[in-house]
Amino acid sequence: MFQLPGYNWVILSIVGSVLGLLGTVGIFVSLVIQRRVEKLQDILDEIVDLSYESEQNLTANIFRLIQRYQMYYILPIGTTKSVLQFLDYALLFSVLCWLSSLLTTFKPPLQIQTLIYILPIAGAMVLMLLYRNLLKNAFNPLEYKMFNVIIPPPTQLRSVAFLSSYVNVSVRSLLQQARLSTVVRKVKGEENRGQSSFNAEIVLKQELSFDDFFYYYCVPLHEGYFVAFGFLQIQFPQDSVTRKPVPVGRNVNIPLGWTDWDNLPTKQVKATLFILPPGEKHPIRYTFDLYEENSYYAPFTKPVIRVDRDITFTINNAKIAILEGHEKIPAYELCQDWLLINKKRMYWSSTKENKEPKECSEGIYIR
Amino acid sequence: MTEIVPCTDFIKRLQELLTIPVHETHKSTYLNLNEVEGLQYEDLVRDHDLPPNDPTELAFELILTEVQKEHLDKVISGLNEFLKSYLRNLNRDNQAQLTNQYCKRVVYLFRRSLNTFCYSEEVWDFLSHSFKPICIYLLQQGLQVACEMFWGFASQMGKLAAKHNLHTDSLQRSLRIFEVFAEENGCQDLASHARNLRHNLEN
Repeated sequence: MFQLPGYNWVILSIVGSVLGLLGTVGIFVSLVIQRRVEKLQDILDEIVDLSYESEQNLTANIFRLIQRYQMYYILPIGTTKSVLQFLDYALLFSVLCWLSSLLTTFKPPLQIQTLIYILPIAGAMVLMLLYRNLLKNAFNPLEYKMFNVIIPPPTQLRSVAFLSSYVNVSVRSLLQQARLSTVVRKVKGEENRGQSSFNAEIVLKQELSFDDFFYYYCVPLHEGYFVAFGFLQIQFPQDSVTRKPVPVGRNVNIPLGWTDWDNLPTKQVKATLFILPPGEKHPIRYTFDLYEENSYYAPFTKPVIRVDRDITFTINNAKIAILEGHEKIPAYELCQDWLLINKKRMYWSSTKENKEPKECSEGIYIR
Repeated sequence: MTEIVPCTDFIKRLQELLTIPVHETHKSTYLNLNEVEGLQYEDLVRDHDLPPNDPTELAFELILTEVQKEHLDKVISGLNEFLKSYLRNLNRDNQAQLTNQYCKRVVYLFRRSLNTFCYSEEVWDFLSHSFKPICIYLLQQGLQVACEMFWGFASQMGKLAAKHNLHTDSLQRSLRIFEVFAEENGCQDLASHARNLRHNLEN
């Protein structure tokens, strides 16, 4: 027969060695994480390097880099599960051992002072839970966001705000790889006294989905302007068939708003798009020459892209404020109070008729 | 001093080559080893065993020498003439054969221009802009087979271009415009073919 007080020492030393093993698991995890951060940093560097070669077609390369980033970002589920299982069992075992050794040395009656003896165990349990949480976050950053600052998720690589404010890249040449384009489509509107009227759906197209920027888009109409603006943020749901997360999309269509088809100028129209990335002070100006076909207006040539140094903007209290050059932005006087960064896409069908902008709630789709 | 040949003379020569008539008789008698099913000894010793003359081959070689000499204007106008001759000779009966004959040579020329030719971007610009009017014309003429094959070759060139870091946005745009055009004209098959090519262009 063992002596109880002596046996307690044995139990405690077993618990000590189990906790030592836990510490080694921590080292193992940190090695894995360190390797991963290095890899991810390399890929991020590569994207930053690519952004300076604007003359070349790098759309496919950037797409592939983001996919590769995603591959390193997510660890295999099996490994994560077995490490977490080991953590759980080891923690449970040590807590049980502590409690049992406490119970065997306990002699009634229960007093307030006894609670003080329990406090160290409670504290240790809280710390252990925190430690478990930390490792879980480090392993699976996709569901747990604690380490997003150190290891940015793959979706951040297409975020213009992230790239322009944390990393020093040329936003213009990155957006050039996204190949922004615009099209005006004729869609059937409501029937009015037996005659169907046609609406024009204005769509912004991206060949590679970049987001996290403020846009301001306008098309001159017969009278007034069609104006659309808002903060673009794209969320791709998990693939419904393969259950893989989708960090980046190709051939993305973003509906901006609707206007009256008959209100558009015939044959040709010049659309202007301003991209205002947070972290920059001059907007990027796109000029599209759209030509009329039967059922759409589409550009035949590449848009003219340049950083407009005559316009300076800043962001105050989640609102865009134009400091200089607001006369160069069409219909700015009307819109200036509405340029909020609230992740909504707003539009004015015609600045002549409407008093307030409407919200475009149509979803983003791939076509 | 190198002798400079004006572009007009070059085009005239090219046009002459492209209008040489084809000897139809040679086509049926020539033994092509990759086309025969079973081989007999008699086939190997037959008379008139000559390949049919092919005007596109001569034109191809003429343009190829201009690529080697880096004469950009002649290469582009040569390709232009080559494609025009293709459209001129096309009809419902020969569409598959003629498309293959011409377009594979355009692909060869483009591939050659990607290596060591410093104006490959200009050549690609010209080609990618010419695909749309050609295909819309083909569809209007009701030459669906030719149209489908032509887009196949065009996207093959697009893939080559993307591999060499050339921009493919005008090709993507042309494919999209063609897709809408085909849909409007009731050719759903061609529209979905174009959409497939567009989505797979840079993968």
